[in-house]
Amino acid sequence: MTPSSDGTPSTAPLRQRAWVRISAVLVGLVAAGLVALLATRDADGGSIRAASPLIGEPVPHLRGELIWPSASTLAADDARRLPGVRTGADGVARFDIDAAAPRWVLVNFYASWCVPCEREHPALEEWAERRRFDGAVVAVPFGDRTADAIAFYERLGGNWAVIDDPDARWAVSFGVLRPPESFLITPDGVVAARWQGQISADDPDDVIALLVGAASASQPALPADS
Amino acid sequence: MSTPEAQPAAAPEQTRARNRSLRRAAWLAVAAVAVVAAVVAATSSRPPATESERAYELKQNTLCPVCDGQSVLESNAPAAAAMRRQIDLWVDEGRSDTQIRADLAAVYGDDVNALPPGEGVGILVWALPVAAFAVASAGLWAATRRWRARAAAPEGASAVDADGAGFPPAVTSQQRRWRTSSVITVSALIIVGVAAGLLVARSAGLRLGSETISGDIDRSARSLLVDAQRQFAANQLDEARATLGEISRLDRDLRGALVLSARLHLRECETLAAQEPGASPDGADSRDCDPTAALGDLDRVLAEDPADTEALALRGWLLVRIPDRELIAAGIASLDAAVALEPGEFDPWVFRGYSARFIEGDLEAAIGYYGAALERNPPPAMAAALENAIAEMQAELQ
Repeated sequence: MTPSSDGTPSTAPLRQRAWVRISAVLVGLVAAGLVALLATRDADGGSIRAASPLIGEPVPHLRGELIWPSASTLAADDARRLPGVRTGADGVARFDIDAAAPRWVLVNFYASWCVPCEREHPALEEWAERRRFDGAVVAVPFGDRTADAIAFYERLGGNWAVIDDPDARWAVSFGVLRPPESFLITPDGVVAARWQGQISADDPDDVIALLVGAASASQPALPADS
Repeated sequence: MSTPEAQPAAAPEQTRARNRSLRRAAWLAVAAVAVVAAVVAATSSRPPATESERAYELKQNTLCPVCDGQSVLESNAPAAAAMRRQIDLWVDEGRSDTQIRADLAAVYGDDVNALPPGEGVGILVWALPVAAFAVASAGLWAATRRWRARAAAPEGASAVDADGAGFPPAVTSQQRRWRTSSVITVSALIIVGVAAGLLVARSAGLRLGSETISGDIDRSARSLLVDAQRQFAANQLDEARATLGEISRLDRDLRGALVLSARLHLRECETLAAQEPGASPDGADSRDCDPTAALGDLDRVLAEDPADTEALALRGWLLVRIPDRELIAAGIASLDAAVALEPGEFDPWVFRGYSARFIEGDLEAAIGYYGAALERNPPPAMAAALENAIAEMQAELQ
């Protein structure tokens, strides 16, 4: 931009040089903007509590035939006592998330080949025991053969419903990426949280405490009222 | 940048003019080829011919959420396998491409769309290349024009460059005219380029709302069936019949279409029966009421799936209303079979209850069947009629 000190060149090359500079600065700005945009974007992974477009939305109407506890393992009366489980006229026990209301439901996607799933199993047991009056666990195999998925529970146990998902329909409706993945559903059927990876029994309880605290601050009635 | 040397001034004026028009024609030809190629490329992508092609394209255009840059078609991840299966199921259900993409994006986020949306920031992806091309052509055009002008006026512009003298007045007026026309042309080209870019963006990527990706994609037998069912529900019987005709040309064995066709016949027969005998049949044409054709449709459905409660119930309902002892018995058997499967819909129970009440005269059984129908969430008008009928029968029993 400096005017020619020695006065030799005419205005035309000078103007050209200005244009070159302006376009270089523009290109530089665009590049810097892109770098800034990409650098400040959320990276994948990291925190275990994951975002999901489902959070705050009504839960998909999760339901299906039980593959665990199997009819032989558990008498129909016991199976019926599991929250959300109904035995139809055909004698087949089915889980329906609507029937589990008004309880906190922890939906757990697992696979028999997944090590963190096995590691988090005691946490699910602990949470189910802690929340036996106002909570329910339901497990759904993901990316697994049904026989292996059942064998996993036969080996590790679990006093809650495991439902069949042969077409991975529920995995898609929850947007599951890789097992283990867990979703916490509020008693009124809203997705409250999602965890990717192994969880502890305290993880869902922390969210519940947060939500119940917020709810009891605004209204005295607790969600689990029945 | 190098300035081309001046053309030999010896060339006669005529030759130069011819050369210029030849060059212009060549450029026009190049532009025409480019435009035609672009138009052909943009419009020749033919919609998928079959449902499996449609599913294939959807899988190709959906990115696997756990793998970098792979589509769900290519990936072996369980999540991708699940999405492939779900896309197949949805295509099978007759959902449109738009709906399937929107549903996947609602769960996995917009990032799974390999074709970014033609709105919002996504516009840039589609519009930038087109606009950049237009801007670049405009720049190139302006540059060549200036080079040529400088070459054509050796005693004007280059003289100025040479001796460094200020502003020769003869050149400025011409240059100003050039500059104005250049600015106009360049800005026109840029505007056209940006507009073209936006147009491309609008016709690309994920569309939302009621827009369809392509009119042809949604003309599959299953999506037509959804239309026909809607038309039937809205009592547009002629439209529904036309749509069914279209479906039967595409897929003769679509189960839902066969059932709907039977329903349509049944509705026509009911309309015909409701008319006074002897009244001119202008409302319903007697040829549209064809129980035999309806039974044929239903038998085809039942041949494939003997436990289709809807077909069983409709078949029974058609049969019990034909005044023939054997057919009535067959109809009741068919209704019994339907009810034994404990269907979640209310109509089999209503049909069974009606035949128990009016054909068999078994009011207690009829009350039971109507009660079962009431448990299955019938529409309010039907529920009121059922409650009414139950009250009547209870009064009759006492």
